[in-house]
Amino acid sequence: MAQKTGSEYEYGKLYRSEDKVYPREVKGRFATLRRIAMFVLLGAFYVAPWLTWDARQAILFDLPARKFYIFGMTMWPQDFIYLALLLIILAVSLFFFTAIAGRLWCGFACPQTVWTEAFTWIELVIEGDRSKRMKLDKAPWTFDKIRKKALKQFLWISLALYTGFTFVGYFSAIGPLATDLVTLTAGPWEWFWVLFYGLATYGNAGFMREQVCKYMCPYARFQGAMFDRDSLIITYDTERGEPRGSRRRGSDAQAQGLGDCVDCTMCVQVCPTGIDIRDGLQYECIACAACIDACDSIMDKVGSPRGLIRYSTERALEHKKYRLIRPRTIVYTGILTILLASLVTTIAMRKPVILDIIRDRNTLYRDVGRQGIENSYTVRVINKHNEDHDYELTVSGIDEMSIRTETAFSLAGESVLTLPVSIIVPHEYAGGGHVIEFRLDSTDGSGITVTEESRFRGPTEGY
Amino acid sequence: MGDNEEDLRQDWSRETQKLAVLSWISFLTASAFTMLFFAFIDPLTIVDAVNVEFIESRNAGYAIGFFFLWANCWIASWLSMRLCRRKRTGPTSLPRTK
Repeated sequence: MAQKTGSEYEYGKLYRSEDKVYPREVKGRFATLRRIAMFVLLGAFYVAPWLTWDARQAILFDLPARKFYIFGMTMWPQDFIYLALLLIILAVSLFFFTAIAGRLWCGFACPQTVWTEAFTWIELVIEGDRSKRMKLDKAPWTFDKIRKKALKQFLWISLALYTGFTFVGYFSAIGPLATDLVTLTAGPWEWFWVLFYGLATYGNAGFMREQVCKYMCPYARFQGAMFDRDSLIITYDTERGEPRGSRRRGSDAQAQGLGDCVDCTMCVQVCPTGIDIRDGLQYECIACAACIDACDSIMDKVGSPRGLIRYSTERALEHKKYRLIRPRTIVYTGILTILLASLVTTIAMRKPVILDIIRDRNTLYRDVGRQGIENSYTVRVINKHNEDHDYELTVSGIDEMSIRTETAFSLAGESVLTLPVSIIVPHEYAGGGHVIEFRLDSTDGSGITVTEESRFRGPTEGY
Repeated sequence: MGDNEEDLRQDWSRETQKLAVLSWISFLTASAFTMLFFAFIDPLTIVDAVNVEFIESRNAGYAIGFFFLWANCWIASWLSMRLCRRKRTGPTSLPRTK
């Protein structure tokens, strides 16, 4: 076990909760921004599943029914392409924003950071600041310590479980889910996933924290490939700061040959991943900007200008001009524009009905005497609309072909109809293979038309 | 553990780190592929194929699919990690000069 030496920073094995990094809390511009981001993002996460749209949960990925409802739009498994496109867009955006603004995502928007922020905030409120927490951990188990620890764990576990519940609420209607959980009538899988995600939240935000960023996150490891010399990074101005060293208040640092860094190590103490930003850009840095706030407050105290540690770029530190428009950003912008445009157009052109034609695989054709040659199909019509529609099925491609089964039908909103269809073609036209086209028209004036190709087979020559 | 700085910096042991990376990366991969897989295949197909009484819902199918994939990814990653291990280099493994 690591000893609490009271030195600048403490490390220990993280699977012992009392050996955690004790990041010193920090006040300042970026800390405020981070807290705002936390409230906005967590707020959105917890509130969104409770919103309703057209008397239905606005965002519901209804996995049991295999339908996604997103603000009045219904997505079917057949619409997976949109989800795939969306995910690709998000991935490219991440590259784009990283190239421009560095790891802004890590510091302010990543769920890992946001929930860790929430959990450490609870810890701060219950157990007090860094020194108080260290003292409390060392202290014997008094009633007060038990009370504080129990209260903290209770709040952590409650938040984690509520997070798990909210998460499941995106996949299974949240209102009924809440009732079912409270009355203990929820299904085993709902329970399982609530607990699973609750546990994951607790583990990631209360227990592992920045270790996830340091060791487990693939994004952190790839940042070197996404950065260039114009990406915004948090950096220490070596030129201005070095040589570092403590100095007497009011003494002339320049005369002593010292730079602006007073070597107070505040930047190291506040760092949640425990790195020294003065060693340069490191992959552990999650760009939370805590060191900027810490250093600025010290600079204010010693009367030096702020910004010894600041958001800057490698080129800017070399006194070169910052370039926003550069090959990397141009390429990313291009890809993003194309992807976004295709997403919007494909969604706009999305057909509300899907027509699926499956040929009977068992018999190629059937001779039905004088009437001609018959082929059988299974026609599947999926009405993705929320409203009911009347349809008429027609077929074309061969002279005098006709559908022998029912062709007019009505289909309720969001439902699927499977229809056996048989087509007859007179002998003189039926020989060989033909491409035919099924066509579905709405007959209730809603103007829906879909077509789908299939094949008609007849006997080959000389049979 | 000693209280000098170097020791204190070792927050996760090498083994813990490996385990965490293994589990997390296979979790992410499995999540992505579960999504892709079930976008095209109705879990009821799998549930029907398995044909065990207590798993009969789509939700069960999703869960089985996810954990199956997770286990697969985990095993594949673990094996890769083992097989990619290189010989330790150190004073004892230096080639003999004679």
